[in-house]
Amino acid sequence: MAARYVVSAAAVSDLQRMAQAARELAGADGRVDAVALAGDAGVLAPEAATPEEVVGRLGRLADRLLVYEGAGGWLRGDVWASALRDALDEGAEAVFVADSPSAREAVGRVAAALGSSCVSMCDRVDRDGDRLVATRSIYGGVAEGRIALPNAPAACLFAAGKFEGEAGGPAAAVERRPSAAEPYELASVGEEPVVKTVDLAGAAVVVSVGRGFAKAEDIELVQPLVQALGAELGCSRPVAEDFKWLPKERLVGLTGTSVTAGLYLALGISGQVQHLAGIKGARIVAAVNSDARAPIMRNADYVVVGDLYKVVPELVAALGGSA
Amino acid sequence: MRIIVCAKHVVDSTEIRWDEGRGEVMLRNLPTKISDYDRNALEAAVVLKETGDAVGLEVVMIGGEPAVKTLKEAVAMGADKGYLVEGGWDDPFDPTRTARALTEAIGSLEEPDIIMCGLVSEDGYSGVTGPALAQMLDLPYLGPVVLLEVDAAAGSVEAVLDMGSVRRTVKVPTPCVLGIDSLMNVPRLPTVLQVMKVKADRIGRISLSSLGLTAGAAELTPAAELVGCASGAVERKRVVIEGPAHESAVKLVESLRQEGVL
Amino acid sequence: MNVDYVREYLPFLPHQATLVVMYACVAVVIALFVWGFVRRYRSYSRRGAGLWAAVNGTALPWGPRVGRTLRDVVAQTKVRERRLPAVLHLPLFYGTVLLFIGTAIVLVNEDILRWFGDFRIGGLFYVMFEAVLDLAGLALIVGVGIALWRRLVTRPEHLPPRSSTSLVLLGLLFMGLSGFLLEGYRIAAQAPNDWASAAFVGSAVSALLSGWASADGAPAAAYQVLWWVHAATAFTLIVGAAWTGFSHLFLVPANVAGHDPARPRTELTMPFNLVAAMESEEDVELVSGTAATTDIAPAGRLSADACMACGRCHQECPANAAGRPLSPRDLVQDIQRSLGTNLGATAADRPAAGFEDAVWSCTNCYACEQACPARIRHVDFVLDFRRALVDQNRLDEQKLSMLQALDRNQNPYKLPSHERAAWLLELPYADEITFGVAEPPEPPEYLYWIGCAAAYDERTSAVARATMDVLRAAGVSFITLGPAEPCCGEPAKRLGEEGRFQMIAATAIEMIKETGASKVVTHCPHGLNIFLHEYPALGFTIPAVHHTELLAELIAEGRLELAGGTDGDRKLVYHEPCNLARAGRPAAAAGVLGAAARPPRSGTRTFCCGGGGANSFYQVEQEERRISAIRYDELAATGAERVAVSCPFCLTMLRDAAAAQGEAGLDVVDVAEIVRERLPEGVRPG
Repeated sequence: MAARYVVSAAAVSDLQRMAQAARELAGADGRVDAVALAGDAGVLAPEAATPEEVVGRLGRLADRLLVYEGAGGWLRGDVWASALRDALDEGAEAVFVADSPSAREAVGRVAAALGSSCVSMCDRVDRDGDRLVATRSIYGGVAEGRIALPNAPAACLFAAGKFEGEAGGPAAAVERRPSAAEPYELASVGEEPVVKTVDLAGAAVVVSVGRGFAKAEDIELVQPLVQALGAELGCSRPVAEDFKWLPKERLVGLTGTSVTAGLYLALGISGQVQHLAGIKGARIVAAVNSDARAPIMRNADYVVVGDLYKVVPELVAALGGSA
Repeated sequence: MRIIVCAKHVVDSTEIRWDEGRGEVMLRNLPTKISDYDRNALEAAVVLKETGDAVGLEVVMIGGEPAVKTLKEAVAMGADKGYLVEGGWDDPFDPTRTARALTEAIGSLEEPDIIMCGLVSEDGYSGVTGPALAQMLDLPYLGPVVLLEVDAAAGSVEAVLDMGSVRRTVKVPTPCVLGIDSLMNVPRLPTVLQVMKVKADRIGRISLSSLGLTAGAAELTPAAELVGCASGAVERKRVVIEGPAHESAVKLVESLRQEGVL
Repeated sequence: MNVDYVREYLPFLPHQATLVVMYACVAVVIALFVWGFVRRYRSYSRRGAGLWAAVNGTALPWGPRVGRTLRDVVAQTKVRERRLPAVLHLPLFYGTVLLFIGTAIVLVNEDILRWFGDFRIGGLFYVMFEAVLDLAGLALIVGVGIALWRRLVTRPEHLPPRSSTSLVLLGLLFMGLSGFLLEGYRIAAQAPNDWASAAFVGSAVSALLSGWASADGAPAAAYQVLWWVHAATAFTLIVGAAWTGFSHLFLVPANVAGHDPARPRTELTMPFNLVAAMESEEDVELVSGTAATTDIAPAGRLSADACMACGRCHQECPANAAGRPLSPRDLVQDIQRSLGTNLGATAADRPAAGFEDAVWSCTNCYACEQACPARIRHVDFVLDFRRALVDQNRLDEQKLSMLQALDRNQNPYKLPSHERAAWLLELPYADEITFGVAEPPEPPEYLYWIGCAAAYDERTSAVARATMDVLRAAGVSFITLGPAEPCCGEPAKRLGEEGRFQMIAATAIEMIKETGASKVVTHCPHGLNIFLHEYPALGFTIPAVHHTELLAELIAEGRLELAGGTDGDRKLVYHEPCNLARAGRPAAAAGVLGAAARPPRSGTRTFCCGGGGANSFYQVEQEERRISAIRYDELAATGAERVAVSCPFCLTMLRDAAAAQGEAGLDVVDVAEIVRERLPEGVRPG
C-alpha cells in the first residue's frame, strides 16, 4: 500500500510546512491528508476563517483536508487528539504536527493511545530502510541526533521553521467529519489576548546585545543600527536575566527564542552554548567583540575584533546615514 | 487534596558538551540535578501545601542510586515523601516509555487529586510526557500552566494557560494532570542543611519489575531510539575583520551586502 | 599656703537630717542601678543560656583582653580616631570619671573609713584633690558644651538627636556648673583662705559671690536648695547610667573585654560544622542564622546594647553613601531596641525579614567595624540575618541562580566548567604549571590560586597571567590547579548558605592538599580571607599570602629586580582593597608600587569598591549612586592617570565606573601588571 501521512498544525504556514515534509516522503504515489478542527467561529486548527481558505493555501501539498466539525469554541488538545486518531484509523506511516502548546497534548495523547513512536523538536524526518528516522537537536543543541521510529504511525512534533516552497496546483478535497464528543470536562472560563511587541522568531534581521555593554543606557547606541537594518532587538541571557536591562521576550537562546533570520548581528556577546543554540537557524552570523578568543568568534561567519562602542556608529554610517 | 509531582533526575544541561575525540555527547561525571521545569512544578505544589489547599505531597522520580540525592533535594523543597522508581533507563528520547513507567508507579500509590510535572524536561525537551501520562491514566491535561487556583472542597482546579497569542483560563474537575510552565514561579532552593535533614524514611522505593515491568517487557521496549548523532555546531565561515573601526565597519557591510542579507 | 586645712563635710546643711535623707536616696539609687543592669543581663539571655554561660565556655586569654579593654577605656584609643569627637569626649569622660572618683573618695572617707580612725581629707592631699577636681569640672563643662553644641546646634546627619542623651548631657552640664557654684559659695562664705587658690575655678566663682555669700542667712538656703538639686541630678544620672544610653560607660568595656582580640576583623562566624555533624553519632540540631532578634547570641546582644548611636559606622558605610537602605547604626540600634533595655523601649521580637533590604545592601567591607569605638561587629549581625533569610527560602532569582551555578558549574557565573581557565592551556608554559600535567621533581613551594574571576573574565585573566609571568621571572616554584580548580566558596559563605560553602570548601581543601604545596598565594583578597580564616576550622592548615605580599618579599630579597619605578610613568593612585586593608595587613603593594598617590580614604579607612558581600553576583536595586562611581570620583580627583588595584572585584567595579566616563576614563590595572611592566627588557616574558 502506498504510504499515507497525516499532517496538522495550529497555523496555516506551519500546516503548509508539515504537508510539504510529508509530501517529500510520500512522493507521487503516497497520500497526504491534512487534519483541521472547525469550531464555533471558523477553523481552530489551523487558525483560519474557512476550510476553503486552508485548502487554497495547501494547494497540491495535501490530497485531502479532513475537517472535524463541532470542535467547540477553543482549540483543545484532547479534541484534537481524537480527531487525529480518527484520521489515523485508516492507517498511516506517520503524523506530522508543528509544535505548539496544544499540539503537544494532541500528539502526546495520540502516541500514548496508539503505542506509536513519538519524537519532538524534529528538524526533518527521513526514510531509512523500512523505518522512519527523525533528526532533531538533542541536549540543548549540543548535538544533532537521529532518532529511529519503528512503531507506526510515528507521531512527530516539528520544531519551528519557515515554510519555503510553493503551494500551487489543484486544491485538496475537503471532507467533513464530526468531531468526537468532548472526552473531558474542561470549561474555558476566560481568555485574554497576549500582545506581542517582540517577534524574534520571525524577524529577518536580528541585532543582539550582550555583556560587552557597560550599562543599560548604552543599549540606546544600538537603536540607530536597529533602525537602519530594520531589525528586531534581541539579547543574551545576562542582559535579560542577570542585569534585567531588557525583558525576557528579547532573549535569544536555549531558554529564549531561536531565530530564523537571514542576518544575526551579535554585539558584545561572548557566545555561550545556550546562546549559540538559539542562533543556529540564522543564515549569516556576524559578531563584534573585543575578545578575539570569545566562543562567538568561532561560531560566526564574519567577525569584527574591536570596540563595539566605536564600531557600531561606524556601521550606521557605512549603512548610509543614521536613521 | 493529594498531589503527586513527577520530577526528573537529569544531567545539568549547561555542562553537556560535544566530545570531539570520541564523537559523542559527553555525559559522564557531570553534575546532576532536578530538571528545571520540574522544579517549577515542585514549587507550585509546595505553595499549595503551604496555603493548606494540599494535604499530601509526594514526589516520584525514575532513577537509580545516583538519583537519591536529587530526590532528597526535591523532598527538601517541601514534600512529605519521595519515591524512587528503580529499573529505569538514562536516555531521554522515548517519552511514552517514561509515561508508562510513571503510570504504573503512580498506580501503586494512593490515588492523587492532582499530578504535576514540568512542561518539558531539561534533557529531552519533548513536552509530550505529561500529556502521554494523562492519556494513560485517562485524565484531563492542562498545560502550559502559569497560574493556578485550587478549590479543594469543590474538587476542581482553575488554571491560566499560556497558549502563545492568548492566555486562557480553564477549569477542570480533579483528578487531572498539570504541565507547569517556567513562567509560573521562581522555585526555592533548599539549603544543603535542609536536604541533609531529609531522613531515609522519607524516601521510598518502587521497583518497576515488581509492577510487572521487567527489563524485557514490551512496554519498556523503546519506541524511539537514538541511532546516531553528530556535533550540533554549525560550521561557520569565521572570516575575521580587523583594523580601525571605520575600515572594519565598511568591510563588514560590504561582505554582508555580498551575502545578500542586507 | 596653710596646708593644715581639713575638708569639711556637708557644710551649711543640717548634718543628721541630710545624712539620713541622702543615704536613703543612695539606697534607692543603688537598687535602681543594680536592677537596671540585672534587667540588661537577663535580656542578653537566649533560650535559657545566659551571657556568662556563653562566654565562660570559650577559651579566654584574659591578658590581651584586659590589656585592650584598658587601652580603649583609659587611653580612649578608638574614640580618638576622630578629631572632633576626641576633643569633646576626652574631657567629658575624664572629667566625669575624676569627679565621680572624687565624690567616691569623700563617701568612702566619711562613711567607712571614719569608723577606723581619723582619715579625713586634709593637708597636701586635699590641695591636690581640689585642684584636680576643679580641672576635671572645667574639662567636663568644656566637653559637654561641645557635645551639646554638636547635637543640638550643628546636628550632623549621622548623629540624630536623642532626648535621653541630650538630657544626660544637660544633666552633666548642670552638675559641672552647679558644682562650681556650690564650691564658689563655700569658698566665699567660709572666708578666703590660702588653700582656696588651689580650687582655682571655685575661687574665681567665689570672687563673684563674695558680696552675697555669708556663713548664715538667706543665701545659705539657696545653697541648700542648689545642693539638693545637685544631689538629685547626680542620683538621676546614676540611675540613668543603668537605664539609658549612658550605660555605654559600662557596656562598652564589657563588650570589648568579651570579644576575642585575636579574631581578625575579616573573619566570619561559623554556625556549624557539617562534616563533624555528619560524622557524629548524635542527632544534633543544626541551626543557621538568626530568624529573629531573639535568636541573636548573648555576646551579640550585649554588643548591640553597648551601641551609643555615635553614627561613625553610618558615616563610613559605602552602601549608606550610595543611598542604599542600609545604615549600620540603625541596624544595631534596631536590635538594641528589640532588647527593651533602655527606658521607653519594650522588648520585641523583630524577624529577619524586617532587615532584608538592609542586609542585602551590605558589601561586607567592615568599615563599620573599623570605625566603631565600642568594637561592635556589625557584619556578624548581617551575616546571621542573611543565613536566616536563606533558610526561609527568601532569596530572589538572581541569588538562587548564583547558588545553583556554584553547584552545577563550580563557579558563580553560570558558565560551563569545561570553559574554565581555557586561556591557561594556551600559555607556552602551561604544562609546567598545571597540576596533574606537570611533574616537578619536588612538591612546589606555592599553589597559585587563580580564582573564578580570573578563570572566566577576560580582563581579570590578564592579572593572573601577569602574576605568573612575574613569579616565573623571579624563579618561584609554583603550581596551579588550572581548569580543574573549583570555586573557593566565598559567594556561598557571604550569601549565608553555609552548608553549600562547607561542601565546596571540602572539595577545594582536598585538591589543594593534593598538590603538596606548602603555601598558597592568590591575587584575590576574598579568596585569601577564606583560606586564612574560614578553611582552618574545616581542616586546612596551609598558610596563605596575597600576591602583593609575595611580590614585596621577592623585591626585598632581591629575587625580583625592577627596571626603575617610573615608566615615563603615568601617575598612579593606589586603591586598597577593603578585604586586605581592614584585616590590618599593611599595604605591601605600597612598597611595590613606589610613588603612588593615596586617596583621602586609604589604609584602614579605604572606601569599598562595592563588589564585596557577594554584591557582584546580584543587583542591589535601591541605590542613588553606584558605590564604584563614588570611589572612582575620589580616585580620579587625586589627579592620577592610572588606578592601581590588587583585587579582581575592585578591578571589575572600578573599570565599570571608568567606562561610564567614556574616553576620559582612567585605566585600571593590577599591581602585578605594573610589576610586570617594570621587569627589565630581557626578563619580561613575551
